[in-house]
Amino acid sequence: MDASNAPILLTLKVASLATLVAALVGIPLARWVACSRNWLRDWIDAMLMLPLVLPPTVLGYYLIVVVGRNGPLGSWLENVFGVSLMFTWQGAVIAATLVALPLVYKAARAAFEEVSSSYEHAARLLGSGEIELFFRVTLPVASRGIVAGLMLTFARAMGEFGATLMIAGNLPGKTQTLSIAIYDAVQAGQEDYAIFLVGIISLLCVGVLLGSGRLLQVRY
Amino acid sequence: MRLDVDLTLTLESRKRRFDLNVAFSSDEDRIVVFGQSGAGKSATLQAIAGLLRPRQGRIVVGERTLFDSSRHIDLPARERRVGYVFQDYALFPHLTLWDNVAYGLKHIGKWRLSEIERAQVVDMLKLMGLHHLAEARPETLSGGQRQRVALARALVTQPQLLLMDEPFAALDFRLRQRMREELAEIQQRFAVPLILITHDLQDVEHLGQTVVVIDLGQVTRTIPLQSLRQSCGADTLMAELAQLCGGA
Repeated sequence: MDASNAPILLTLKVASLATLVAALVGIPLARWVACSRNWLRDWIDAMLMLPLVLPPTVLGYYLIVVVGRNGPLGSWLENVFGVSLMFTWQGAVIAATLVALPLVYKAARAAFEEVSSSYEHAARLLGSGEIELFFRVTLPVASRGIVAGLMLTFARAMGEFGATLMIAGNLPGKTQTLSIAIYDAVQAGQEDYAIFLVGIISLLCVGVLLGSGRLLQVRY
Repeated sequence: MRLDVDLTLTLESRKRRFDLNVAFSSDEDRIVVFGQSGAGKSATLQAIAGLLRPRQGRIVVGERTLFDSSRHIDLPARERRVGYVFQDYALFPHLTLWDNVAYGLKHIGKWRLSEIERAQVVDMLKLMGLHHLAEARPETLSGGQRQRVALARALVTQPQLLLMDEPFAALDFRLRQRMREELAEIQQRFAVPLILITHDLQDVEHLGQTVVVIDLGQVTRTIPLQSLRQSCGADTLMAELAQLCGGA
């Protein structure tokens, strides 16, 4: 593998996995919040949106507290499986997931709330149970909004810097993602390399935004 | 078919509280529930369908008890075998006409239609004059076509009772009259009892056999329209109705 491409490939891998995990966590929670009247709902909503407003370094710090060698999760993983997430690309996935989670959550929640309740009523009256109607009606009707949200999630995960640096560090070829490689290149005075990486990530992000914008334009 | 409805329910939102206490029964197959908006018509219909849960009461269709608070019977909506045509039709926007109509015949674990079911869908689409549009999406249809799809989707599951919420409100004046005639024909053809709610006296006149007048959450009158039709001539029927229904 060409060393100059390593950050790009690593970033695509980390961002894809982070998007997947964020989707698996965020979409079910969004559905729950969208139709729940539980008192916990507002708290869960606030917690899920928190990564959007907290500085990424604060998130990184929390992550170190939890998954670091002395943290509850970190020491458990160390003792039971003999693994540590610190300074690994898996750690970078966790950081990117956390930072990007609010985007998929918010988009999915809005999409679910926009699904008219009469569609769901109609499905019930045609014999569907709650799980069936979720997969046959609610999710497909909301899917455009959710996919658009996932694209933003992916873009955000690609650009993640602060929390990733704190938990995964800056190990070239191992945990050095695009945005960290750019910082590194600028610090080391490698202007050409920095411009190359900046160009790539800018193009990717513009492409994602164009795609998600187009998806959201077509409305039912 | 004999229909018995007696229900009490309270709707509460942050701003207001609405008590509904509605009872009527009929042996006739076309019941029109008439009332101003906000009178409780939609809530009555939703309670019959199982979308709202009454605090107490009884809903019996023919031999089947759908709800009876004293015997702790409360069938979920999906088991009530009630067809429902929503005011906005609620056609599934992500499905073609064909898939909309076939929706109720498919279930998780049973995605393929049998030959008989396939023929049922085809017949239903033909009957409604929609066969050439089978692959179209609901957004491309006119108001009258949407209503026919909604009706086809409900009828293909062979419901024992058909509920319609202001079915003509979204249609223009001329179309309304044609759809009323179509509906009367379809109701007779399928011999399915119909409860229709409306605030339009024209619907009452053209479709009603029994008229239930609701105001402020209470039934103020149940009028057997057949005998009224016989006792007064066609030209005075509307005037008579307007008076009986509270001039609304």
